[in-house]
Amino acid sequence: MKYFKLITASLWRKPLRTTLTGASLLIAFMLFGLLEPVAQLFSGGTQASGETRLWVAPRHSISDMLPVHYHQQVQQIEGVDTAAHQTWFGGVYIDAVESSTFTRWAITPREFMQINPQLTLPEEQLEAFINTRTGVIVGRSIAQRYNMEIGDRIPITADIWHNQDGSQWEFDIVGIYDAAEGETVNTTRLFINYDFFDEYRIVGKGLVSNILFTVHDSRQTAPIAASIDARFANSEMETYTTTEQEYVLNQISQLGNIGLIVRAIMGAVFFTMLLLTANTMSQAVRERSAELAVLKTLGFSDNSVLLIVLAEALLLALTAAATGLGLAAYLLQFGEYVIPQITTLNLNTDTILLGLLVAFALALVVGLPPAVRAMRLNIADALVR
Amino acid sequence: MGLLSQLFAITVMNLRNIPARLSSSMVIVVGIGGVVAVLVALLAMAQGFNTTMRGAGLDDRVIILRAGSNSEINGSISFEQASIISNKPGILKNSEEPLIAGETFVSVNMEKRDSESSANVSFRGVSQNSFQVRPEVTIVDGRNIEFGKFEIIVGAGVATHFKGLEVGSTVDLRNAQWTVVGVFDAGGSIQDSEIWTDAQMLNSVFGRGSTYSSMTARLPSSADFDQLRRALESDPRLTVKIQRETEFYAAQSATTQQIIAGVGVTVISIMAIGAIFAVLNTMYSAVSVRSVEIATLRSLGFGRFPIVVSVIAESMLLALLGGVVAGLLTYLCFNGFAASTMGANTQVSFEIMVTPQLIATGIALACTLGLVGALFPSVRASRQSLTGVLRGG
Repeated sequence: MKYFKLITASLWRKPLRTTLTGASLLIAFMLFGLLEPVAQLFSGGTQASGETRLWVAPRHSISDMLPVHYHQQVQQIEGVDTAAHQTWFGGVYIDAVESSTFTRWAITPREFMQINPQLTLPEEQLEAFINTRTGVIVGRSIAQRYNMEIGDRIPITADIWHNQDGSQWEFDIVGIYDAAEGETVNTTRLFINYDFFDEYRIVGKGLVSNILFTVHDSRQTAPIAASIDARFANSEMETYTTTEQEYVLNQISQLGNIGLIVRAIMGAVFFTMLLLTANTMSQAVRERSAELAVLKTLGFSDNSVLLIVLAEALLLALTAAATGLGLAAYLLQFGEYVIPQITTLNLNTDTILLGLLVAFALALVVGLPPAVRAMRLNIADALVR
Repeated sequence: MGLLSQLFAITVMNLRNIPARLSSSMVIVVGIGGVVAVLVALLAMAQGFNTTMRGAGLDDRVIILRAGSNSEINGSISFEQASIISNKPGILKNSEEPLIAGETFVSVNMEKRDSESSANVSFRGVSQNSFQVRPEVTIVDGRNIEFGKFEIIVGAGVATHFKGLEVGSTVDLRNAQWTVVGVFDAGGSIQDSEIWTDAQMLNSVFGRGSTYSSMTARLPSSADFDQLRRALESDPRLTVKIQRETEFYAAQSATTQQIIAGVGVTVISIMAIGAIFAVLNTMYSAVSVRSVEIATLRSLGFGRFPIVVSVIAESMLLALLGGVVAGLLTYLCFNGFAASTMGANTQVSFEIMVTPQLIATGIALACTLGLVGALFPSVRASRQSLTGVLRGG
């Protein structure tokens, strides 16, 4: 650390070059910080262990629906903790594009919120939701996007579920839910009270999209899923039961191998950065060979010279990486304005550590050859030149 | 010496000593090449998807849905309404028979070939008329379905991406055994991503009763659209909306387009900024290495302008090289690559299309980045103090 001043001074020897190299590195790490969460989302990198929430879906088609009495039957299966159900409402809010920024579901309020502790809703708002027929709750990100407040009335035009009056549906916002502390969770869903929905729709009464439930013991998920599917085999509607995570991932993976595409882009970016920084570092050392020779004349050991040059690369790369990742973390909160259909993205600790590790490795790869050259520098030769 | 010959002399000289600065020059080539490759690849995906989504669309073919529905999967038109619609004026007739087909549309879960995962595929129940309404559909393997039987034909795209759909095999869906009797080609349009069967069979198995999801009709000409629209809208027995196929498919692909555009613009802009930094860096060091050389030229009477231009020309040529190489590599690696993604509700198979226009767009971006990145370094090169540089300051 006593050489810190020396290291910064030599880095700042050509301020413009160092700034530009630092800036390109910063951009690279910012891109990494923005894209890695996307890649993780699409390749299921954030899979939580001990998944205890499962989904029952119609076996053959997402356009099929389950009879609502399956809900009670699932609830009675051995090992099932709490069961809820949800139904895709669809509909149009403002226009087709705005409608795609959030989804609309009819749910059983109490059970649904109970098995989704990652969504937080104040108790009095939950009570209001349960007791208001036309009540809906919206996620924080939708509320912000459309300036919605509790008490607002929002119209949704039906596309699947026409109501008895043949008019548009009108709902009252009675609550705004948040993601629980530290959870990366989709808050772009609007929830409708199932009882009102079922009473007021014309067709499909008593049909729901999925049944969701939690189990007591996460090791029992597979046998419980199998017993539910066996229970409904050869019945009016066969089922497919899987963990929620797996179900959602499968839906996402239908967009294509986005994780792979995104990582390929990052690979290209880092390869370029490697080339750029390596070039700058070796140029810097070449230009300074006389100065390095003076250091050696003053008694700096070969190893100290090696470490000083290496430390320069490390300082530059780590500073740039830290700033870039910081910027990315800041920018990610605006992500939904660019791609509203994507769930909230967060830069988690693992990604930050991975980024810093990449910076460290990059610094070693580009710093080592010039550092070794500096170490091997022959004083007499360098001073004569 | 004239301006032009000065320009030429310096530029050639700069270019000839590029080999001496190979690694820093490569930074421009690779840096810009990377941006161009990503840009062209993303555009090519968007283009391929777009072409497929709109390929089926004809101006003189219309789709009729229940009012308020945005896609076929939400549609519902009763057989009764369907027969009213069929008798409206403005529909093309084939010897007294109106060319209009009621179709039922559901999405089914199928296993993909390349992975363990499954995906939603469009399962369309068609009428006898469907094949006249969509003449681009031809059977390329096996035979067509016989109506009234549990038989299916699969689109070429579905056959490529999904398992267990070879001609002769059977598929178990909703407690019924469906036999694959043929493969059809819909000319690269979205129907290539579908599985077809008899609408009546599909309705009975999937409990659709006496309803269609949508109706598709041919018009005598594009101009007859308004006539049919007025006829449908003025009939109180009907609550339907009519759209030209071209408009319908454009709306269907809007969300996916928006995602591709959102991701693409963000990533490309950030990468472009990074590439400009790389060009700046390289060109600054290029002019600083050559400062003595440039000062010497200036003392010999070369003007500032040729020096500015020569630096820009060098940067742009390197950028151009990067752009061309990246464009060609993208073409070789991706063109014609069969991809599939999520359309409005179900999988859409499409071919990634790296067209010459897209490569040209990429090369234009490369040259712009090369130009922007070289501006400041070139001005600095022309402004440096002659005496200072030559004295070794």
